Amino acid sequence: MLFAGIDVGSLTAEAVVVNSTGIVAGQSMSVLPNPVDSAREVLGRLLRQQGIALKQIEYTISTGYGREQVQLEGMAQSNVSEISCHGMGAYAQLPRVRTVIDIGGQDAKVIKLDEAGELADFVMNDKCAAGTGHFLEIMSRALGVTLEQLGPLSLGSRTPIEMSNRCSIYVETEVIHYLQRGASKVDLAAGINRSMAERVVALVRRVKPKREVMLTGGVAKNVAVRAELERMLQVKMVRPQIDPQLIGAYGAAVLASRIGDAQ
Amino acid sequence: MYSEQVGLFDRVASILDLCKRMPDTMSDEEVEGLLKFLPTDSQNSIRAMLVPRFRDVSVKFLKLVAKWVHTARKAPLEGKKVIIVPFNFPPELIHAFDNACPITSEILSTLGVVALEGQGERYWDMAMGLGLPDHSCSSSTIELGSMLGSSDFRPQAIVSAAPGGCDVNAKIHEFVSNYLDIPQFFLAKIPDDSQRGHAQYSVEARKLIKSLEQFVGEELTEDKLRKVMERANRCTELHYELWDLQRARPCPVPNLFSLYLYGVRFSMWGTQDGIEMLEAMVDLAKQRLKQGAYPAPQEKARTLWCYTSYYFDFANLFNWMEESGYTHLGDGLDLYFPQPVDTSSMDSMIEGFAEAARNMPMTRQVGGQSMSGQWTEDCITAAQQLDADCVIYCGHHSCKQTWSVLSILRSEIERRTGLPMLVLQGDSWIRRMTPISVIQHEIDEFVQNVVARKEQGKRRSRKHKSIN
Repeated sequence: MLFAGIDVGSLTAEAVVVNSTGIVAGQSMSVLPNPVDSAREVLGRLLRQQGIALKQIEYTISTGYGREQVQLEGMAQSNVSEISCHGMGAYAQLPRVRTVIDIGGQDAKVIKLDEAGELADFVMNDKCAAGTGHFLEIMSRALGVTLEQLGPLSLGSRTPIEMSNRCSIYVETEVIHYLQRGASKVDLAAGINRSMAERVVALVRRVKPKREVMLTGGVAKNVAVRAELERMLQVKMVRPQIDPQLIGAYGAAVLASRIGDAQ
Repeated sequence: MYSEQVGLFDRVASILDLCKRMPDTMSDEEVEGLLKFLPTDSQNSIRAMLVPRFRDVSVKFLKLVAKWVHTARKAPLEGKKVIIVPFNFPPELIHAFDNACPITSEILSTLGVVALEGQGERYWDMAMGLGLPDHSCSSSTIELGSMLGSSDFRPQAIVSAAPGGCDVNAKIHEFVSNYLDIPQFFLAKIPDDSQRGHAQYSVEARKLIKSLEQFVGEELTEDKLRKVMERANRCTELHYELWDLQRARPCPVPNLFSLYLYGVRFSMWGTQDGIEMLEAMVDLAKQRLKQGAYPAPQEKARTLWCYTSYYFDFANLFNWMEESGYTHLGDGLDLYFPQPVDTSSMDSMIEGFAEAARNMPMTRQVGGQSMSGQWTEDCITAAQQLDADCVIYCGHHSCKQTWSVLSILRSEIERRTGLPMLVLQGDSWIRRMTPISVIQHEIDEFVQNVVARKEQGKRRSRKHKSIN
């Protein structure tokens, strides 16, 4: 039996299909203006790629910003919040995980799990863009590199340039100012990634993190942010065996399989 | 006059004039009719107040506020002095003067946010334009920004009970006093919790009374003070009656009543109108208790808000919570623990006033000898007595005091009671900070996951114990 999870976020949409033994496949894409179209497209791509018919999916759960609309349009039987799905996804990947740091396009969350994988606590940044994936998007544009290049680029830096501010707008101004003065893009990228990590660490400390710690969401793919977080938190973060951006959809699919099995 | 220049007080007063004409009991059609006259921004909040399940009490509350504002508006014409007070000052003292009238700046700000198009943002922006920083306390800044930047009513004096308790507020009061060239009277915070500290605070309260007597040009007589204090004592009784009713599961006290309760405390405490308002709240809560009435099929979580609430959308906070099964058991502004005043002599009444002032929210907690200590004790007392399932902190962005000790409060509450605490980051009076949808999302997540699982754990543990 096959089960699906669809995660429609602010910048990307993901779909994952699982069976009783584990993950079958996952798919990710940039969102379309309408969350339902995003859900249809990302799941459609995955099913076409794997040669699976929609009717083979027993149960689907939607999550992310567009989760309610996706369910209302009949693309999913139920919807679950992204906090629960990220917690479940991380726990299903590695049951030793107690803290999940999820950095998405528009928010960052720190989720604490108990021994049973249940949500014990969480905190979110809810008033500022700094510390979110969108911050890195703005900065990569200012540097003239792609988002994917921002992490690897900064690894060669020996003298990261310190960003004096945390506000996305002011950091962008600062980056432009440094570029005009001829600063190296490598050192600037390193400074940007460090600034991002500092912001997230402030959030992480509010919940007193416990090991093991897993980083999920699109920003988890940025090697420099990951390295800075590990240095600041003095913890080696565990890696999921799948694309960290798929963890929310994967958690939704795992929850779908539990509900489907119970039925 | 160009509408941009009309002040918050005058705009709120004209909307409240509509409320004065409302019938005591309104039909759904009359409510819809009234809403058509109101600005779009205020419709959500007024609609929330006028839901059928507690409409009559809300109408009474709106009329009470209308009377309070109207009294202040006409006071100068009658030769009376309008004295601006902060929410942490017992207004009953001013009510004891025939020739003075209290008006509370934070209530005006809240009324502006509830009732006006654009909420209080215009006045906030005016205050910023005049040089106040954006990390000023929004609760005071909105109304005071209006006084400073528009053609609003002018108070004749300002009483500040904020120094030492909330220095941001204290500085705003100083700014207003200078800008409007009106006198400012102080009630400094209590030096410490010792007997000597309390004695010193009484001395300060007596000095303030003397200064007010000189300014108002009227002696505070024993008879006048006794009348007010006896009425204040009746308010205290009703406060605790409501507190007791809140203990029941499901809670028979509507969520918005926690706001009405301190609305009375900060405006009409010690008046007959205040008593009648509290009586109406108690009566309705008793009826609901008898009927087992609750707006949701199940009371899922009882939430104690340890600081302020959000005031820019009543429908999507107070009523949305209630209809989702989340009870609002009151917030930090309800934590003033009133005590009956001994009315046998002038001295005992002044001591009683000093005690009330010392126990006002912010003075009692933020101005305490140990802020984190007193705040924690008060929250734990309230959480235990009201049988709360969790605590929620509404981050009012400029409150350096509460943010500075919040992690102590959070870990102490969790350690001593096992109750989880949600920390939000929005601003009570400014919707620009965090949209209500984000706040709702976080409350939902918190209750459905963290609180529900803790409750399941407690139930499992109780079952396990009973089996053994």
